[in-house]
Amino acid sequence: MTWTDSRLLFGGSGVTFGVGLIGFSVALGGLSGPAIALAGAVSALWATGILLVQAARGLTAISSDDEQLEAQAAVGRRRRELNREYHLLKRALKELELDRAMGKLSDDDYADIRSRYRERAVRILRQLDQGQSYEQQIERDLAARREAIGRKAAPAKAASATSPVTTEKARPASDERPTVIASACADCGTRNDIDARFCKSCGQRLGGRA
Amino acid sequence: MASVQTNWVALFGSFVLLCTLILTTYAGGAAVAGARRQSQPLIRSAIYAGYACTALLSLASALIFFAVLSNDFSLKYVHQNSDAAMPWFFKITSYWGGLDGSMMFWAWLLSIFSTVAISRNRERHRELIPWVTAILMGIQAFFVSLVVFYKRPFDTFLNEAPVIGKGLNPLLQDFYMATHPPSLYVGYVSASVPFAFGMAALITGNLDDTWLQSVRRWMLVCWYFLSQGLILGSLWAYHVLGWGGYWGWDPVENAGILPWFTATAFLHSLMIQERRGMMKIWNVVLVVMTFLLTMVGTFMTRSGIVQSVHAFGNDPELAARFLAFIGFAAVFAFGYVIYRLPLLRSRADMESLLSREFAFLLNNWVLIACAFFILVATLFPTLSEAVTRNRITVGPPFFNRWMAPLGLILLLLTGIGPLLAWRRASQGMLWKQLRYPVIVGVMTILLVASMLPIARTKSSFMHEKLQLPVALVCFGLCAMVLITVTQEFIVGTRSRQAGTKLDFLTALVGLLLRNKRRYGGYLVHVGIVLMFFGFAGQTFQAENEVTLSRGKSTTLGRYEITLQSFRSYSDPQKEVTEARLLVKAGGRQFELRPAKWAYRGHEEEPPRTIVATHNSLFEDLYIILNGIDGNESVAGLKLIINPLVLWVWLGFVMLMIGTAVAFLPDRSDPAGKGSPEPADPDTKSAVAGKAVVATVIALCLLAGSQTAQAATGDTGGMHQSTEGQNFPTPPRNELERDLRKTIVCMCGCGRQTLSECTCGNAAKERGIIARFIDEGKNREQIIRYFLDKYPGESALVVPQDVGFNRLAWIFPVVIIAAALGALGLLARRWGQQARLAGASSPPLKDTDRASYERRLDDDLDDMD
Repeated sequence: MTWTDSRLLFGGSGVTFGVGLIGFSVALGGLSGPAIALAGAVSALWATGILLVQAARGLTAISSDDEQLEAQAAVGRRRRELNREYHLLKRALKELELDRAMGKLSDDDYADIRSRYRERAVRILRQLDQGQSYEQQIERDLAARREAIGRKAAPAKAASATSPVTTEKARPASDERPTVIASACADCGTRNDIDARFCKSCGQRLGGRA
Repeated sequence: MASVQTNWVALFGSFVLLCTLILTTYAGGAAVAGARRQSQPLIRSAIYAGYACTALLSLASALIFFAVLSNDFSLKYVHQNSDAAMPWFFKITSYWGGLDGSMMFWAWLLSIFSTVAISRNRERHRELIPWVTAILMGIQAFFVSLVVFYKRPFDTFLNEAPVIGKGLNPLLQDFYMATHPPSLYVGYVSASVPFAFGMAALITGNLDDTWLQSVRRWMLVCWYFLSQGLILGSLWAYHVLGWGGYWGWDPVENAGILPWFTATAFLHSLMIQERRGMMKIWNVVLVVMTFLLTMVGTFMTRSGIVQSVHAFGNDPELAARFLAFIGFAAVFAFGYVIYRLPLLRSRADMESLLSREFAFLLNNWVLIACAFFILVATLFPTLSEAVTRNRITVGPPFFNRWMAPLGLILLLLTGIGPLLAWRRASQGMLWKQLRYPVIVGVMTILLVASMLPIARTKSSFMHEKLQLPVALVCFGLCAMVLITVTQEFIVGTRSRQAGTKLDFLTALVGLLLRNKRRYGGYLVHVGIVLMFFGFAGQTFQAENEVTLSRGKSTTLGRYEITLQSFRSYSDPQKEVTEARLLVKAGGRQFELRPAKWAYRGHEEEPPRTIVATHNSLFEDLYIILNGIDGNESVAGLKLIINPLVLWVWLGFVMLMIGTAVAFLPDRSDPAGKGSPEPADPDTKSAVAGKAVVATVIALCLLAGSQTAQAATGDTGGMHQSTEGQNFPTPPRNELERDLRKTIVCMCGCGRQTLSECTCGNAAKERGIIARFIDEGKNREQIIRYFLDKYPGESALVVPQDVGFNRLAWIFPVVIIAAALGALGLLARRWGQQARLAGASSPPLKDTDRASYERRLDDDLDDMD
């Protein structure tokens, strides 16, 4: 759901509630329980309408704008997932230290489990870095493609610059991703993760990453 | 004949519900189709359709609120559950006061939780979300279909609408009764979300730890609101219902506690899966069982399958539908569990009996045993009626004598569990940690036994022939666990101080904030310990029944109670009979005013008991006015001393604090790349909401406990006969007292014994007992008379040990024997060394590795 749509949903519900409250209070002769309930009903009706439109829209083909938004979101999601897992691993390492300090873990066990966690954490750091470099590479490729496409790219770029995907919280500008397409397999067209080396459905090596 | 006007609100409401059903079905279907075809548009459409259902159900709820608040009695539901004279607050609670509304309320809550769960997890669990949506929409479709086709809240009267409403039973017009059902409903409904995630994980085969991460917080919410609902219910029973206790093992109460046990088990065993990759099957099964038990609970209270003071009624058709749904859900869920069994194999083996893993396993077994026992014992009367045509009564004594040992084992595990190391605890280390707790525990037992002889009271333990001083054991274990927890805090703080140069208090706070889950959990344990401390007090309750005339006094314990005066008066709502008592104890004195309120318009029910209590940390003095005989100018009183009850409520407050600590989100963590890691989105609004709710509840609990006398209520249940001012005359001897406690009143109130029930039927029966005793009959003869009079055995509070009833006695023993046997076999198999299966992954290149390791170390340091 785009930002405009969510504004329409939440803002519109608030407005209809307020208007309904005033209207029904006047009609029923004063602010009362029934008036509030009816105002709530009207605002719920509005929300239903907006959401039904969104649901119906989902059935139509996704436009290229949506595709780019999806891809953008996919990259951001992957990044957040990795960050989250990294954070959890650090927590686990800290807890492990505490357990050992309190005598709940033998030194051997501690060393064993600790090395496992650290291995995973280092792997994630690596993936985060790789993701960054891939994004930069893809951004270069995309800039070239845009120039080739020309005018069609301009509204697309404008759309991606002004409408951040609603599911992301506010991020600093440095984190604003340029339009990125999730890597699509040349053979079967399946969309794969950014850092995938082989297509997950047909197994072909993905182009551009030796 | 007046013309019947169309009620547009009702018509529109029915239409909205129909639309909701269609949309829910579409959402579920689209989600499944989208998942199978990997089609993002379909999934997206399904999700928004789901959100739209929430909006529609909110619309329907708003319409019901409108109808109730505007006193629209042309709606049958409003007429039955509301009344123009009720305060607006209780009008709102009448939404879920009746069966139809409660089903719609359930659907509404489910839609709200679905929206929250799906929107929060849409990004994080992209593979799971379509199936989560499908499952949640499936459950929602069931409830909405009930409300559309069967129990319709928007039905109107076909003829002229009545002008007044029947109103909510005065019993229910009370703070506790207004808050207890919604709290329980939130608990019940929130169990659907973990179930949906669990099923989604099973269906997609994504059975690693990711589905657990989101589910943990939902299960914590579910568990917390179940706890809160149960406590509020207990408070209501204690202060409002007024029979002297707070938990009567009523079937409806039992229905609420069953999912609580499985949720507790899940919250513990999920730690094992996170740390060691074990108990995966357990976790999935527990999530399924919690959901199924919430359904069973809802089913039990509405089907008439159990007899209870506050069941919704008797409706075999509804029972059949629920059973069909539960059956289908069970087959579907367990079928998938079996199908995915290969993926659920542990990554590691249990290495030693003396390990945290084993303690948690034992903990789970005991919790499941508790739930299973309560379930079977609650259904036993129905079972026996089905099999032997005789309905027996399974009363509190039976429950207590088995729950006591189970509870004590749990208490012991609470103390030992945190001390055990992972994989294998060294005996020396364990003993070192257990030294102080055990010493203090034993000392406590000795101290209490010598200084407080009353605590040595024995009660039945597993069998009435085995009498043990349960309270002493409980106190010893409580002390042991408290010392254990204190030790954990101190050692943890010291270890934190060792690395840094902090003072004790700062280190302590830091420790708490760094390990919120663990230390929040310890605080919850402290709360549980306090509650057990309060429970133990019930074993040495003191009770007496007296008849006093003006100026006369009596003593009970350390209290001297004098009847100063009594009077009757009336107000627009009710007739009041009140006694004024002067109580002296330990140099202080205070006044208590127990009363009876007879509501106008509800004369067919016995008057409501207004209990007078004096609460202190040691005990509650609890006085019930049985009645006043105007002719003879005497007042009948029932005096009870309930030791340590306040600790149960205090324990809950501690539980609340501990849950809040465990629920707090982790601080935002800079992930080393400039973008701050957002705080867990599951929790931000949830924490704010919980904080508000918790504060409100805490304040209300404290306030509510003071206003016991102002609360409104009833003696509960529909008795079938009243014969004026029949208050129980006190028992004259032990035999009479014992018989009154053994024979159940058959008036239909539930399972109150003749010593508790205040209806006219009970008065007659008490008279019969008195006459038999005068005639010289002995106990067996009198019991035989009642058994003959009431075919079947429901006249006895505990089933006799013959024939089919033997099962009731045998099954707990059989279960425990089987469980011990199984554990023993498993323990022998685990005697070998096991290799921890490491995650196989290719090693990284050495050149990059050093820099990454450095970065990791820097980040770890930053965390402190």
